[in-house]
Amino acid sequence: MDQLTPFLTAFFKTTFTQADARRRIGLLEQGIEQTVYTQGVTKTLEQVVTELAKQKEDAQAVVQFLSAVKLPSDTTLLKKMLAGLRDAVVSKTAVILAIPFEPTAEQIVAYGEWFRVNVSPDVLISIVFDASVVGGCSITWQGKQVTYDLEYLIKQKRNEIVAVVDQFVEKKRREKVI
Amino acid sequence: MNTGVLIILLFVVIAVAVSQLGVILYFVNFIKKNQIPDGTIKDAQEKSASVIAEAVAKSNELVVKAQEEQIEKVSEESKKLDELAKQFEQTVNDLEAKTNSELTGTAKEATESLETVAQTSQESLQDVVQTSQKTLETMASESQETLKTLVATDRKVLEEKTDTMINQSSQVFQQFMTQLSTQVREQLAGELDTAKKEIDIYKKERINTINEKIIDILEETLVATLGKKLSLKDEGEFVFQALETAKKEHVFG
Repeated sequence: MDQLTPFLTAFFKTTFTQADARRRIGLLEQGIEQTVYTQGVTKTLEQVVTELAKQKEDAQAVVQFLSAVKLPSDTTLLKKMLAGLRDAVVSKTAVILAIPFEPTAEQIVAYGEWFRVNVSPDVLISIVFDASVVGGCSITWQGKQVTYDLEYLIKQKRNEIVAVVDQFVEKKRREKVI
Repeated sequence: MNTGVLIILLFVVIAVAVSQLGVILYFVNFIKKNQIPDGTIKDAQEKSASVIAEAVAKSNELVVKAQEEQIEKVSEESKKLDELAKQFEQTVNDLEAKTNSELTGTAKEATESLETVAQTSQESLQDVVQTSQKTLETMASESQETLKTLVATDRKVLEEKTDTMINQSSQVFQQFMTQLSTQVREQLAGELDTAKKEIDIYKKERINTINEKIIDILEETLVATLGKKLSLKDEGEFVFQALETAKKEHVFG
């Protein structure tokens, strides 16, 4: 586990969502397969990964990871490290964040960093789309689900809204009487 | 002659005969025991025989005499008895006659007395009846008077009691009516309060429902309008605001 820690730290530094983590581990495994375990390959692992990546963010994240760590030369140890990394990602419980829009990569990083700072340094998030959550988000964490959206805000401000409505109705009634 | 006298005479004769026979037997026995020589004996026998004969003759004479005396006595006694019987019969007849006459007299007297008593009793009874009738009439009259007095008294008492009861009943009825009206008033007031409370509750619930409805409409309107108008940047900012709220409410522990 101690040998795996630097790899996990480096991996989580660029990856914040569970989906990105799974996809990027797959990309890394695929790159290692096509370079380390394949003879006669002239390309580097970074080059192969960049070629294989369907999203440039994935390629950048994996390249950044590879630059941050030194992969073991022993193939057995390398396999063991990859398996440990996959298990750690798969077994980790993610915070589910439901939002009513498709976030940008920057927004995903920003949310991920917020969670790393405010919840846990190695926490992963799972972003899902929910159009009903207008003006906020819904959070599911450790079996608990809360929603902070426009509806929540309106309910929070219920009394103020009711007071305003009552004033409005009273004003209209007086006008009608006069 | 009377039968009783004859029986007595017969007994006397038999007694005399038995006594003579006894004397004879005694002498025969005496002779046998004291036998004397033949000459002497013969003389003695002759003497004794003569003595005996004399004794027998004398005894016969005595017996006859006694019999005659007895017969005479018996005859006298019989005469006396006849006389006594006659006297007794006479006495009885006298007594019977006397008794008859007395009884007749007594019966007559008794009848007369009875008649007198009956008459007296009848008269007394009539008196008693008349007296009783008078007494009863007097008593009836008195009773009637008493009854009248009692009825009058009772009527007065009854009227007084009736008045009292009517007054009491009136008071009780007034009290009852007062209590009833108070109870009705209190019950009505209670029901009115309850109705007011229920109306207030209904009003509040209704207002709440209306407010909820207003909020729903407002929310729907805001969601429908703001959802389309919010920019990605605004949405992103709202997410951060929501995350900060979650942090403040300790959603992450």
